[in-house]
Amino acid sequence: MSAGTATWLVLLVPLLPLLLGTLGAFRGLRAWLPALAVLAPLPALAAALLIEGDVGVRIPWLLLDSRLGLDGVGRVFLALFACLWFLGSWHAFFYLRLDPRRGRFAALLLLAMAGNLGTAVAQDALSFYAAFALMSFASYGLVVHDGTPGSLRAGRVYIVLVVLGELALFSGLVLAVAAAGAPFEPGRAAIPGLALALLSLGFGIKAGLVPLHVWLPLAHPAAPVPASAVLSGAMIKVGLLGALRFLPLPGLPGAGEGLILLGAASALYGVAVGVLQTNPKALLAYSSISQMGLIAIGLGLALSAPDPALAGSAVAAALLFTLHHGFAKAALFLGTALAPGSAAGLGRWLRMIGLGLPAAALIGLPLTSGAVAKAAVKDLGLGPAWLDPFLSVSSAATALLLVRFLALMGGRSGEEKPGTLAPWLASVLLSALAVWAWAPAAEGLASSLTAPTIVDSLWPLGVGVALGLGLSWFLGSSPTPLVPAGDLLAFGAGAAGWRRPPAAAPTAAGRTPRRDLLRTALARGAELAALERGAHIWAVGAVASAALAALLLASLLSS
Amino acid sequence: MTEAWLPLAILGTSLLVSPIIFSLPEERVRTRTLLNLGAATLKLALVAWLAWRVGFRGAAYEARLPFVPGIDLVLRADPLAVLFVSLSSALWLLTTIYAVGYLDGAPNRSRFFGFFSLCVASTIGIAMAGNLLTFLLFYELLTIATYPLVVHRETPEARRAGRIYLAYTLGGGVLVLAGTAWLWAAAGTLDFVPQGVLAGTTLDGATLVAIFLLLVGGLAVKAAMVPVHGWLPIAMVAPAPVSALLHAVAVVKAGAFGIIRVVHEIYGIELATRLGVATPLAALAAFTILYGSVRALGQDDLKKRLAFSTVSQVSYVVLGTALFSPLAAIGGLMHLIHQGLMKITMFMCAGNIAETLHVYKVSGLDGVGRRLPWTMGAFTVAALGMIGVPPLAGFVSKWYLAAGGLDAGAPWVVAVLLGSSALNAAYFLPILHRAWFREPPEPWPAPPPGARLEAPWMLLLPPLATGLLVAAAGLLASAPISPLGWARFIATGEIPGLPGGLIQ
Repeated sequence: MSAGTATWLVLLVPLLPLLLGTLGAFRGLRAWLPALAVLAPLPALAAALLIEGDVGVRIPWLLLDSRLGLDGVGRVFLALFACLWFLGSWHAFFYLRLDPRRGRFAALLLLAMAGNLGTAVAQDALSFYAAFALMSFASYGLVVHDGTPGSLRAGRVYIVLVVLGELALFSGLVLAVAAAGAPFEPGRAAIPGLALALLSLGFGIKAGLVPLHVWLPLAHPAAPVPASAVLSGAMIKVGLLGALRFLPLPGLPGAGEGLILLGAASALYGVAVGVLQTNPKALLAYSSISQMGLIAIGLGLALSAPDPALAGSAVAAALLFTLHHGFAKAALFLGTALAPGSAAGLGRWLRMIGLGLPAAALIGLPLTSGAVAKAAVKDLGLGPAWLDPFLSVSSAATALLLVRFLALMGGRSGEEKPGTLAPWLASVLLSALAVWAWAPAAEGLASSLTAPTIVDSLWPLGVGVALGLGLSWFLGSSPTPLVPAGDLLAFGAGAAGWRRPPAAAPTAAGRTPRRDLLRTALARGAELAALERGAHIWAVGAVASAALAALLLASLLSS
Repeated sequence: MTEAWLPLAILGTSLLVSPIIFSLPEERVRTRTLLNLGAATLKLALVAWLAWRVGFRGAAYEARLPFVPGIDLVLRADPLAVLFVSLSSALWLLTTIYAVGYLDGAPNRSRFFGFFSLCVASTIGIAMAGNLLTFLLFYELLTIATYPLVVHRETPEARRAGRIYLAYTLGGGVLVLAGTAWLWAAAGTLDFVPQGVLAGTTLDGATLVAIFLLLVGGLAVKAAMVPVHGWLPIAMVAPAPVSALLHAVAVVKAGAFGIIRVVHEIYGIELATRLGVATPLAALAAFTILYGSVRALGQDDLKKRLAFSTVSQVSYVVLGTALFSPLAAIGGLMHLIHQGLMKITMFMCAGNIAETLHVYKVSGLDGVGRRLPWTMGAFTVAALGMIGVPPLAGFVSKWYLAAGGLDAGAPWVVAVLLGSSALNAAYFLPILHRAWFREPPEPWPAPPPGARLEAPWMLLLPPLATGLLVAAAGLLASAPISPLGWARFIATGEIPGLPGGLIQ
């Protein structure tokens, strides 16, 4: 491909969805948007797959001297994003076919797509920030699309954290630029600590790192299924992309070690709360928190690596993990639109196997992308001694979580939207195969197939499945989750008694009258009492957690 | 090269048209509209020519008229004047279109448009004034010419608002007059000079500080700085075009513009900093920014919420002026334009909503986006710009102000901007949420049969144009004729130009 064509293709990546999205202003054209949205990610796909080598283009009059382009890191993200947006908009076309507000949804989907794809091709700080903002604000419309009280509440939490993240990024960028001197070109080395902290805060919120995750388990399940898939598969990955673009690698050993700890905490916390969910989408959202924790560990290893070469390998491992999780999670989220419980015979088997494949990848079974990704992290030989056994335990934890997911899905009955099966099947196929198209992943396959590695990846599965089956049997299919989605937020607000009833609007004059506060507090109390009645189930959860902890300890001692 | 005719012609297009409009009988709608729009278009063309000559050809224009011995009335088209003149004349054209549509069939239109032209003429005079006396003359003229517009509806409420408005602005004018007289007596000069006419002065500090307090204290009234902001929300009883052009752009900007002239071209930022008056001014601006936003949160009346938002946003300009850093000055100057574009968009949209749907309260905006998608689209762009979402206009201002704060050794500015952005989000995002994602309480009245647009084109086109400019000012910030490029030209003398090629 000639340099000129490549340049135009890169420009088209964010521009096509952006232009199509703004067409939503015309009432007459709005009906076409759901179909056009399927075509919008194609330039991105072409750019990611066909452009060889690095491309860069400078647009001096745009924003404050913008640069767009494609480099190694950008290409990986762009390929992932383009595939997932294609699958997502294809699925959305059928999923929302009868929705009266599908035009609005498609317009916002296109704008979020433009932002998300834009982050992958942005090569300067402000273009990245602008694309990030477009993605975050447009996604609000995806989260609240249903208009139910639950989605409105999720939307409120989401937008508050989006604004918080935007402010953190703004101040972090300003500080970085002021210190780096060169106008609006944050140098990688000389960024002051406060700026780094603020940037990390902004990206940490997007990546759903505990304790900044509270928006994620509310927003991802609230959105319609295809939007959840791109939110969880693609958009949260921008948190990692931003960190790779702005943080000095390596060179922050202290921060790196802190991030490894936070990532580990996220990985376990996501499973511990997720396993108590009864809505499969909420469970998947918690799984995303857990998996993003593992990706954060990879980034932490890169930050604290002793030399640039090792940091590069750690980044490659994190990228592999990103690809793997992005594809698998999108397939699982699209799968939540299925109703295997209502299908019979072959159809039921097809659905359960299709859900099982990406689940197996997340657990890290041999021959899956997950096995290669985990092997890549382990092979680095970086990080604290507890990391290896921790990864095995986290596999067990993931197995526990996904067995629970499959159990929930297996019992799910209802009507499937016509036409949604094909995009889902495509997503399952992609999740099983697409990763191997990336050379480092294919190379890693061989090293992940040694006998010890296989044994290493099988025992967590056994433990996890056993725990998961036990837990599912105990929990049954109780309609309310034991820990409300949004965990910390729900408990914090409930204890303080100032959570507004879901129906109350955030009015301007807006203080909830005292009487309402009392009523809310009483309602919260009743809810908590209901939780108390489920105490025996808590006991099961505690036993499961204790078992995991014991495993961790045992494997630590044996290592 | 100095030519006198161009500044005079630009002033004349609205000053001379005003008596003709006054003398037109009420029912000569077509003649009046033609005259209004013709004058506004002509002025815009002249201003474009002026900007081209000043920016790219290094031309200078000055008109001088002897007034009293030692002081002339001076109209000078320096880059700073061109900035404000372009803003006023572009928005005058759009607001005139809007006003013609808005007042369709209303009484007293000759009176309205006559004073409207007079106001714009005063603004042009304020912008191009070459010394403090000329400035003061047009500044007072603006006060007098806006009063009839505020009380236009002649309701008791409007009359009360008019009285309060006059009390505030005339009081402020007296302070400026006193300061001007004292400055003339003490220093013997009133000229506006880049870097400050008083830069090498031998006057004692106390006198200088006292004069500064008088001048800036008086100007702060029109700039609606706390604690003399009270008139602005009350003056919102005026018709929408008045609120849009005069109270979002002309009047408040006249105050802010005067502060820029006094700080930068009478005192010079260096002297102002040395006298210890710049930091308190910056602190007051910062307080106003936060105070206005907090008050805006509590307003359910849409126009009042916008008015308090204006209180807050105009002080961005003052903040940028009072910080000792060229980056901050660029941010402040740029915000003069950006804030005008964003706020006029929102006021015109609010006017559309009031006219078409008779909704005046934020709490009544549920589902408005469904009935007025274009109007709310423009409003959304402007509101996100106010919050500072990139790549819209407000973001570029905030970026430069924050960088300037750090540059000037005042990192607290970043914190103030963050707080302000958070508050802006808190009072604008609920409006957007209501308009786009809530169901209307009952179906909106259908548009009149045969109407192809959601509102008459005269009410729809102006906010769409300004909304588009809000996006363009941010997206194309580095283009040569952007507000940023021009502000940089004023602050650093760097001639705007395109760095070769559209893409590299």
